[in-house]
Amino acid sequence: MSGAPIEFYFEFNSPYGYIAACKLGDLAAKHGREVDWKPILLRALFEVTGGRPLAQLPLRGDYMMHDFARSAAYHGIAYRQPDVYPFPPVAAARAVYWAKDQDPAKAGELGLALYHACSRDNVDIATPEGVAGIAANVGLDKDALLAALETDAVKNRLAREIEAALKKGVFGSPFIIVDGEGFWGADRLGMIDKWMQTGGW
Amino acid sequence: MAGTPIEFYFDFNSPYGYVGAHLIDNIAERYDRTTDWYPILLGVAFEKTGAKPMGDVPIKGAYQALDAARVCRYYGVTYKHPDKHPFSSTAASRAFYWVKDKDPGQAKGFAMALYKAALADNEDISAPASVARVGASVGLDQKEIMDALQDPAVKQRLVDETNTAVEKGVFGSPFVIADGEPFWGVDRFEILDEWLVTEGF
Repeated sequence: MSGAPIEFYFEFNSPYGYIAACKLGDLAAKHGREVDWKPILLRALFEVTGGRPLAQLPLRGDYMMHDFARSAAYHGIAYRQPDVYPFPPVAAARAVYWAKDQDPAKAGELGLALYHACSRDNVDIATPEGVAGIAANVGLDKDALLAALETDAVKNRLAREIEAALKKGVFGSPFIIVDGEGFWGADRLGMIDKWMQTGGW
Repeated sequence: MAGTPIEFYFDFNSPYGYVGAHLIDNIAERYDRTTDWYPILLGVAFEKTGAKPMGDVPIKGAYQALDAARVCRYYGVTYKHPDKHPFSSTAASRAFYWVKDKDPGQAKGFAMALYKAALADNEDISAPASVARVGASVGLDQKEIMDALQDPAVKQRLVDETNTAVEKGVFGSPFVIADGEPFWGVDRFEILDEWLVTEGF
Protein backbone atom coordinates (compact mmCIF):
# COMPACT_ATOMS: atom_id res chain seq x y z
CA MET A 1 0.00 0.00 0.00
CA SER A 2 1.65 3.15 -1.15
CA GLY A 3 -0.76 5.49 0.56
CA ALA A 4 -0.48 7.94 -2.33
CA PRO A 5 -3.35 10.38 -2.76
CA ILE A 6 -6.36 9.28 -4.80
CA GLU A 7 -6.53 11.40 -7.95
CA PHE A 8 -10.10 12.58 -8.43
CA TYR A 9 -10.88 14.04 -11.87
CA PHE A 10 -14.32 15.57 -12.33
CA GLU A 11 -16.32 18.33 -13.90
CA PHE A 12 -18.65 20.46 -11.78
CA ASN A 13 -21.52 19.86 -14.25
CA SER A 14 -21.24 16.11 -13.90
CA PRO A 15 -23.90 14.70 -11.57
CA TYR A 16 -22.14 11.33 -11.33
CA GLY A 17 -19.05 13.32 -10.36
CA TYR A 18 -21.09 14.74 -7.50
CA ILE A 19 -21.88 11.25 -6.22
CA ALA A 20 -18.16 10.44 -6.23
CA ALA A 21 -17.34 13.78 -4.57
CA CYS A 22 -19.75 13.00 -1.73
CA LYS A 23 -18.41 9.48 -1.18
CA LEU A 24 -14.71 9.66 -1.93
CA GLY A 25 -13.60 11.45 1.24
CA ASP A 26 -14.82 8.66 3.51
CA LEU A 27 -13.49 5.99 1.17
CA ALA A 28 -10.04 7.58 1.14
CA ALA A 29 -10.01 8.04 4.91
CA LYS A 30 -10.88 4.37 5.36
CA HIS A 31 -7.61 3.52 3.63
CA GLY A 32 -5.60 6.31 5.22
CA ARG A 33 -5.39 8.28 1.99
CA GLU A 34 -5.95 11.83 0.85
CA VAL A 35 -8.03 12.89 -2.15
CA ASP A 36 -6.36 15.08 -4.76
CA TRP A 37 -9.16 17.15 -6.31
CA LYS A 38 -8.60 17.73 -10.02
CA PRO A 39 -11.43 19.52 -11.78
CA ILE A 40 -11.34 19.27 -15.58
CA LEU A 41 -13.49 20.53 -18.46
CA LEU A 42 -15.26 17.70 -20.25
CA ARG A 43 -15.58 19.80 -23.38
CA ALA A 44 -11.79 19.84 -23.70
CA LEU A 45 -11.59 16.04 -23.27
CA PHE A 46 -14.40 15.44 -25.75
CA GLU A 47 -12.52 17.46 -28.38
CA VAL A 48 -9.87 14.76 -28.30
CA THR A 49 -12.04 11.67 -27.89
CA GLY A 50 -14.94 12.79 -30.05
CA GLY A 51 -17.19 12.05 -27.08
CA ARG A 52 -20.51 13.76 -26.55
CA PRO A 53 -22.45 14.50 -23.40
CA LEU A 54 -24.46 11.34 -22.66
CA ALA A 55 -27.52 13.45 -21.99
CA GLN A 56 -27.58 14.56 -25.62
CA LEU A 57 -27.67 11.08 -27.18
CA PRO A 58 -30.99 9.56 -28.26
CA LEU A 59 -32.21 6.80 -25.88
CA ARG A 60 -29.12 7.17 -23.70
CA GLY A 61 -30.03 10.70 -22.66
CA ASP A 62 -33.40 9.68 -21.26
CA TYR A 63 -31.88 6.68 -19.57
CA MET A 64 -29.16 8.80 -18.02
CA MET A 65 -31.58 11.23 -16.42
CA HIS A 66 -33.53 8.33 -14.97
CA ASP A 67 -30.45 6.41 -13.91
CA PHE A 68 -28.86 9.40 -12.29
CA ALA A 69 -31.88 10.10 -10.08
CA ARG A 70 -31.98 6.44 -9.13
CA SER A 71 -28.24 6.29 -8.41
CA ALA A 72 -28.41 9.39 -6.23
CA ALA A 73 -31.33 7.91 -4.29
CA TYR A 74 -29.45 4.63 -3.93
CA HIS A 75 -26.47 6.46 -2.43
CA GLY A 76 -28.69 8.69 -0.27
CA ILE A 77 -27.54 11.85 -2.00
CA ALA A 78 -29.89 14.80 -2.36
CA TYR A 79 -29.23 16.17 -5.84
CA ARG A 80 -30.96 19.15 -7.35
CA GLN A 81 -30.13 20.18 -10.88
CA PRO A 82 -29.38 23.91 -10.86
CA ASP A 83 -31.74 26.24 -12.74
CA VAL A 84 -28.93 27.10 -15.14
CA TYR A 85 -27.58 23.82 -16.47
CA PRO A 86 -25.12 23.06 -17.86
CA PHE A 87 -23.23 26.11 -16.61
CA PRO A 88 -19.67 27.25 -17.41
CA PRO A 89 -17.50 25.39 -14.86
CA VAL A 90 -14.30 27.24 -15.75
CA ALA A 91 -14.10 29.70 -12.85
CA ALA A 92 -14.89 27.00 -10.30
CA ALA A 93 -12.27 24.67 -11.77
CA ARG A 94 -9.59 27.37 -11.80
CA ALA A 95 -10.40 28.31 -8.21
CA VAL A 96 -9.78 24.78 -6.95
CA TYR A 97 -6.22 24.76 -8.34
CA TRP A 98 -5.63 28.21 -6.92
CA ALA A 99 -6.80 27.04 -3.50
CA LYS A 100 -4.57 23.97 -3.79
CA ASP A 101 -1.53 26.19 -4.15
CA GLN A 102 -2.54 28.19 -1.06
CA ASP A 103 -3.25 25.13 1.06
CA PRO A 104 -3.74 21.61 -0.36
CA ALA A 105 -6.30 20.74 2.32
CA LYS A 106 -8.42 23.71 1.30
CA ALA A 107 -8.74 22.49 -2.28
CA GLY A 108 -10.87 19.54 -1.24
CA GLU A 109 -12.94 21.63 1.10
CA LEU A 110 -13.57 24.21 -1.63
CA GLY A 111 -14.22 21.53 -4.26
CA LEU A 112 -16.88 19.86 -2.13
CA ALA A 113 -18.44 23.19 -1.12
CA LEU A 114 -18.66 24.26 -4.78
CA TYR A 115 -20.16 20.90 -5.72
CA HIS A 116 -22.78 21.15 -2.96
CA ALA A 117 -23.57 24.68 -4.12
CA CYS A 118 -24.24 23.73 -7.74
CA SER A 119 -25.60 20.21 -7.29
CA ARG A 120 -27.68 20.52 -4.16
CA ASP A 121 -28.26 24.15 -3.20
CA ASN A 122 -29.04 25.70 -6.61
CA VAL A 123 -26.33 28.31 -6.13
CA ASP A 124 -24.88 29.74 -9.32
CA ILE A 125 -21.14 29.10 -9.46
CA ALA A 126 -20.73 30.05 -13.12
CA THR A 127 -19.27 33.49 -12.33
CA PRO A 128 -16.08 34.41 -10.46
CA GLU A 129 -18.27 36.22 -7.89
CA GLY A 130 -20.36 33.11 -7.30
CA VAL A 131 -17.23 31.02 -6.84
CA ALA A 132 -15.59 33.59 -4.57
CA GLY A 133 -18.66 33.67 -2.34
CA ILE A 134 -18.34 29.94 -1.74
CA ALA A 135 -14.59 30.28 -1.20
CA ALA A 136 -15.21 32.87 1.50
CA ASN A 137 -17.56 30.39 3.23
CA VAL A 138 -14.69 27.94 3.64
CA GLY A 139 -12.31 30.60 4.93
CA LEU A 140 -10.47 31.54 1.74
CA ASP A 141 -9.73 35.14 0.80
CA LYS A 142 -12.47 36.25 -1.54
CA ASP A 143 -10.65 39.26 -2.98
CA ALA A 144 -7.43 37.36 -3.48
CA LEU A 145 -9.33 34.70 -5.39
CA LEU A 146 -11.16 37.24 -7.56
CA ALA A 147 -7.84 38.84 -8.43
CA ALA A 148 -6.22 35.46 -9.11
CA LEU A 149 -8.99 34.40 -11.50
CA GLU A 150 -7.95 37.29 -13.76
CA THR A 151 -4.35 36.15 -14.05
CA ASP A 152 -2.84 34.16 -16.90
CA ALA A 153 -1.03 31.94 -14.44
CA VAL A 154 -4.31 30.69 -12.98
CA LYS A 155 -5.91 30.33 -16.42
CA ASN A 156 -2.93 28.43 -17.81
CA ARG A 157 -2.82 26.17 -14.80
CA LEU A 158 -6.22 24.67 -15.63
CA ALA A 159 -5.24 24.19 -19.28
CA ARG A 160 -2.05 22.37 -18.22
CA GLU A 161 -3.93 20.18 -15.76
CA ILE A 162 -6.38 19.15 -18.48
CA GLU A 163 -3.54 18.29 -20.85
CA ALA A 164 -1.89 16.22 -18.16
CA ALA A 165 -5.18 14.48 -17.41
CA LEU A 166 -5.59 13.51 -21.06
CA LYS A 167 -2.08 12.07 -21.08
CA LYS A 168 -3.05 9.95 -18.10
CA GLY A 169 -6.06 8.58 -20.00
CA VAL A 170 -8.82 10.64 -18.38
CA PHE A 171 -11.82 10.94 -20.72
CA GLY A 172 -14.90 11.32 -18.50
CA SER A 173 -16.24 12.37 -15.11
CA PRO A 174 -15.73 11.10 -12.52
CA PHE A 175 -12.41 9.47 -13.34
CA ILE A 176 -10.40 8.22 -10.41
CA ILE A 177 -6.79 7.02 -10.43
CA VAL A 178 -5.48 4.92 -7.56
CA ASP A 179 -1.83 3.86 -7.65
CA GLY A 180 -1.79 4.31 -11.42
CA GLU A 181 -5.00 2.32 -11.96
CA GLY A 182 -7.79 4.30 -13.63
CA PHE A 183 -11.51 3.88 -12.89
CA TRP A 184 -14.26 5.65 -14.80
CA GLY A 185 -17.62 6.27 -13.19
CA ALA A 186 -19.18 6.62 -9.76
CA ASP A 187 -20.24 2.99 -10.12
CA ARG A 188 -16.60 1.94 -9.72
CA LEU A 189 -16.33 3.10 -6.09
CA GLY A 190 -16.84 -0.44 -4.80
CA MET A 191 -14.03 -1.72 -6.99
CA ILE A 192 -11.78 1.17 -5.96
CA ASP A 193 -12.38 0.18 -2.35
CA LYS A 194 -11.39 -3.40 -3.12
CA TRP A 195 -8.41 -2.27 -5.18
CA MET A 196 -7.00 -0.31 -2.24
CA GLN A 197 -7.75 -3.14 0.14
CA THR A 198 -6.10 -5.86 -1.94
CA GLY A 199 -3.55 -3.95 -3.98
CA GLY A 200 -5.30 -4.98 -7.18
CA TRP A 201 -6.28 -8.19 -8.93
CA MET B 1 -45.68 -7.70 -12.19
CA ALA B 2 -43.41 -9.38 -9.71
CA GLY B 3 -43.84 -12.73 -11.44
CA THR B 4 -42.77 -11.61 -14.90
CA PRO B 5 -39.36 -12.69 -16.16
CA ILE B 6 -36.42 -10.31 -15.88
CA GLU B 7 -35.34 -9.43 -19.43
CA PHE B 8 -31.61 -9.79 -20.10
CA TYR B 9 -30.30 -8.22 -23.33
CA PHE B 10 -26.74 -8.78 -24.55
CA ASP B 11 -24.45 -8.88 -27.56
CA PHE B 12 -22.09 -11.85 -27.92
CA ASN B 13 -19.26 -9.36 -28.52
CA SER B 14 -19.74 -7.74 -25.16
CA PRO B 15 -17.44 -8.83 -22.33
CA TYR B 16 -19.64 -6.99 -19.84
CA GLY B 17 -22.57 -8.95 -21.26
CA TYR B 18 -20.55 -12.12 -20.67
CA VAL B 19 -20.08 -11.20 -17.01
CA GLY B 20 -23.77 -10.33 -16.82
CA ALA B 21 -24.67 -13.74 -18.23
CA HIS B 22 -22.76 -15.35 -15.35
CA LEU B 23 -24.60 -13.29 -12.75
CA ILE B 24 -28.15 -12.57 -13.83
CA ASP B 25 -29.78 -15.92 -13.11
CA ASN B 26 -28.29 -16.08 -9.62
CA ILE B 27 -29.67 -12.64 -8.82
CA ALA B 28 -33.09 -13.57 -10.20
CA GLU B 29 -33.21 -16.82 -8.24
CA ARG B 30 -32.66 -15.00 -4.97
CA TYR B 31 -36.01 -13.28 -5.52
CA ASP B 32 -37.78 -16.30 -7.01
CA ARG B 33 -37.68 -14.67 -10.41
CA THR B 34 -36.98 -16.13 -13.82
CA THR B 35 -35.00 -14.55 -16.63
CA ASP B 36 -35.59 -14.27 -20.35
CA TRP B 37 -32.42 -13.88 -22.46
CA TYR B 38 -32.33 -11.76 -25.62
CA PRO B 39 -29.19 -11.56 -27.76
CA ILE B 40 -29.26 -8.41 -29.86
CA LEU B 41 -27.02 -6.73 -32.42
CA LEU B 42 -25.53 -3.68 -30.72
CA GLY B 43 -24.63 -2.19 -34.09
CA VAL B 44 -28.34 -1.70 -34.79
CA ALA B 45 -28.86 0.07 -31.45
CA PHE B 46 -25.81 2.25 -32.10
CA GLU B 47 -27.31 3.39 -35.40
CA LYS B 48 -30.23 4.71 -33.40
CA THR B 49 -28.21 6.40 -30.65
CA GLY B 50 -25.33 7.62 -32.82
CA ALA B 51 -22.93 5.89 -30.42
CA LYS B 52 -19.71 4.27 -31.54
CA PRO B 53 -18.33 1.04 -30.14
CA MET B 54 -16.33 2.13 -27.09
CA GLY B 55 -13.29 0.31 -28.45
CA ASP B 56 -13.17 2.70 -31.43
CA VAL B 57 -13.06 5.89 -29.33
CA PRO B 58 -9.60 7.41 -28.64
CA ILE B 59 -8.38 7.01 -25.04
CA LYS B 60 -11.73 5.52 -24.00
CA GLY B 61 -11.04 2.46 -26.15
CA ALA B 62 -7.79 1.68 -24.35
CA TYR B 63 -9.56 2.10 -21.01
CA GLN B 64 -12.36 -0.21 -22.04
CA ALA B 65 -9.97 -3.03 -22.95
CA LEU B 66 -8.30 -2.71 -19.56
CA ASP B 67 -11.57 -2.36 -17.68
CA ALA B 68 -13.28 -5.32 -19.35
CA ALA B 69 -10.43 -7.64 -18.39
CA ARG B 70 -10.37 -6.20 -14.86
CA VAL B 71 -14.13 -6.58 -14.40
CA CYS B 72 -13.93 -10.20 -15.59
CA ARG B 73 -11.15 -10.93 -13.10
CA TYR B 74 -13.15 -9.19 -10.35
CA TYR B 75 -16.06 -11.56 -10.92
CA GLY B 76 -13.83 -14.59 -11.55
CA VAL B 77 -14.90 -14.92 -15.16
CA THR B 78 -12.22 -16.33 -17.47
CA TYR B 79 -11.80 -13.94 -20.37
CA LYS B 80 -9.50 -13.64 -23.34
CA HIS B 81 -10.01 -10.81 -25.76
CA PRO B 82 -10.52 -12.58 -29.10
CA ASP B 83 -8.02 -11.95 -31.89
CA LYS B 84 -10.88 -10.86 -34.09
CA HIS B 85 -13.08 -8.32 -32.30
CA PRO B 86 -15.68 -7.15 -32.87
CA PHE B 87 -16.91 -10.15 -34.82
CA SER B 88 -20.28 -10.75 -36.43
CA SER B 89 -22.62 -12.07 -33.76
CA THR B 90 -25.49 -12.49 -36.20
CA ALA B 91 -25.31 -16.27 -36.68
CA ALA B 92 -24.90 -16.90 -32.96
CA SER B 93 -27.85 -14.67 -32.11
CA ARG B 94 -30.10 -16.21 -34.76
CA ALA B 95 -29.25 -19.71 -33.60
CA PHE B 96 -30.03 -18.74 -30.01
CA TYR B 97 -33.63 -17.74 -30.79
CA TRP B 98 -34.11 -20.89 -32.86
CA VAL B 99 -32.98 -23.04 -29.93
CA LYS B 100 -35.03 -21.00 -27.47
CA ASP B 101 -38.22 -21.69 -29.46
CA LYS B 102 -37.42 -25.36 -29.82
CA ASP B 103 -36.17 -26.12 -26.34
CA PRO B 104 -36.05 -23.16 -23.93
CA GLY B 105 -34.20 -25.26 -21.34
CA GLN B 106 -31.17 -25.55 -23.61
CA ALA B 107 -30.99 -21.96 -24.82
CA LYS B 108 -29.03 -20.46 -21.93
CA GLY B 109 -26.50 -23.28 -21.86
CA PHE B 110 -26.03 -22.78 -25.58
CA ALA B 111 -25.55 -19.03 -25.11
CA MET B 112 -22.96 -19.61 -22.40
CA ALA B 113 -21.11 -22.08 -24.63
CA LEU B 114 -21.10 -19.53 -27.46
CA TYR B 115 -19.92 -16.79 -25.13
CA LYS B 116 -17.17 -19.01 -23.71
CA ALA B 117 -16.00 -20.02 -27.19
CA ALA B 118 -15.80 -16.39 -28.30
CA LEU B 119 -14.54 -14.62 -25.18
CA ALA B 120 -12.59 -17.28 -23.29
CA ASP B 121 -11.35 -19.73 -25.92
CA ASN B 122 -10.56 -17.31 -28.77
CA GLU B 123 -12.78 -19.21 -31.20
CA ASP B 124 -14.25 -17.38 -34.13
CA ILE B 125 -18.02 -17.87 -33.82
CA SER B 126 -18.97 -15.56 -36.68
CA ALA B 127 -19.58 -18.40 -39.18
CA PRO B 128 -22.71 -20.60 -39.09
CA ALA B 129 -20.51 -23.72 -39.09
CA SER B 130 -18.74 -22.55 -35.93
CA VAL B 131 -22.02 -21.77 -34.22
CA ALA B 132 -23.33 -25.22 -35.17
CA ARG B 133 -20.19 -26.86 -33.80
CA VAL B 134 -20.62 -25.07 -30.47
CA GLY B 135 -24.25 -26.25 -30.57
CA ALA B 136 -23.09 -29.85 -31.02
CA SER B 137 -20.83 -29.49 -27.97
CA VAL B 138 -23.89 -28.90 -25.80
CA GLY B 139 -25.95 -31.69 -27.36
CA LEU B 140 -27.74 -29.83 -30.12
CA ASP B 141 -28.01 -31.16 -33.65
CA GLN B 142 -25.31 -29.56 -35.77
CA LYS B 143 -27.08 -30.09 -39.08
CA GLU B 144 -30.39 -28.79 -37.78
CA ILE B 145 -28.68 -25.57 -36.68
CA MET B 146 -27.03 -25.21 -40.10
CA ASP B 147 -30.40 -25.65 -41.78
CA ALA B 148 -32.16 -23.28 -39.40
CA LEU B 149 -29.60 -20.56 -40.08
CA GLN B 150 -30.68 -20.58 -43.73
CA ASP B 151 -34.33 -20.13 -42.83
CA PRO B 152 -35.69 -16.62 -43.63
CA ALA B 153 -37.99 -16.83 -40.60
CA VAL B 154 -35.00 -17.40 -38.32
CA LYS B 155 -33.21 -14.43 -39.88
CA GLN B 156 -36.26 -12.21 -39.51
CA ARG B 157 -36.68 -13.22 -35.89
CA LEU B 158 -33.41 -11.58 -34.88
CA VAL B 159 -34.30 -8.40 -36.77
CA ASP B 160 -37.63 -8.27 -34.96
CA GLU B 161 -36.13 -8.98 -31.53
CA THR B 162 -33.46 -6.31 -31.99
CA ASN B 163 -36.00 -3.74 -33.18
CA THR B 164 -38.30 -4.53 -30.27
CA ALA B 165 -35.40 -4.15 -27.86
CA VAL B 166 -34.42 -0.77 -29.27
CA GLU B 167 -38.06 0.34 -29.06
CA LYS B 168 -37.96 -0.58 -25.38
CA GLY B 169 -34.95 1.70 -24.94
CA VAL B 170 -32.18 -0.91 -25.03
CA PHE B 171 -28.95 0.70 -26.28
CA GLY B 172 -26.11 -1.26 -24.69
CA SER B 173 -24.97 -4.61 -23.38
CA PRO B 174 -25.80 -5.94 -20.92
CA PHE B 175 -29.14 -4.27 -20.50
CA VAL B 176 -31.70 -5.55 -18.02
CA ILE B 177 -35.38 -4.66 -17.76
CA ALA B 178 -37.07 -5.71 -14.54
CA ASP B 179 -40.72 -4.80 -14.08
CA GLY B 180 -40.30 -2.08 -16.68
CA GLU B 181 -37.24 -0.60 -14.95
CA PRO B 182 -34.12 -0.38 -17.18
CA PHE B 183 -30.57 -1.10 -16.01
CA TRP B 184 -27.59 -0.60 -18.31
CA GLY B 185 -24.30 -2.27 -17.53
CA VAL B 186 -23.12 -5.01 -15.25
CA ASP B 187 -22.14 -2.27 -12.81
CA ARG B 188 -25.85 -1.61 -12.25
CA PHE B 189 -26.52 -5.15 -11.02
CA GLU B 190 -25.94 -3.98 -7.44
CA ILE B 191 -28.73 -1.42 -7.83
CA LEU B 192 -30.86 -3.98 -9.69
CA ASP B 193 -30.45 -6.30 -6.72
CA GLU B 194 -31.57 -3.59 -4.31
CA TRP B 195 -34.46 -2.75 -6.65
CA LEU B 196 -35.68 -6.35 -6.51
CA VAL B 197 -35.50 -6.35 -2.71
CA THR B 198 -37.42 -3.15 -2.25
CA GLU B 199 -39.46 -3.22 -5.48
CA GLY B 200 -38.25 0.25 -6.29
CA PHE B 201 -36.93 3.16 -4.30
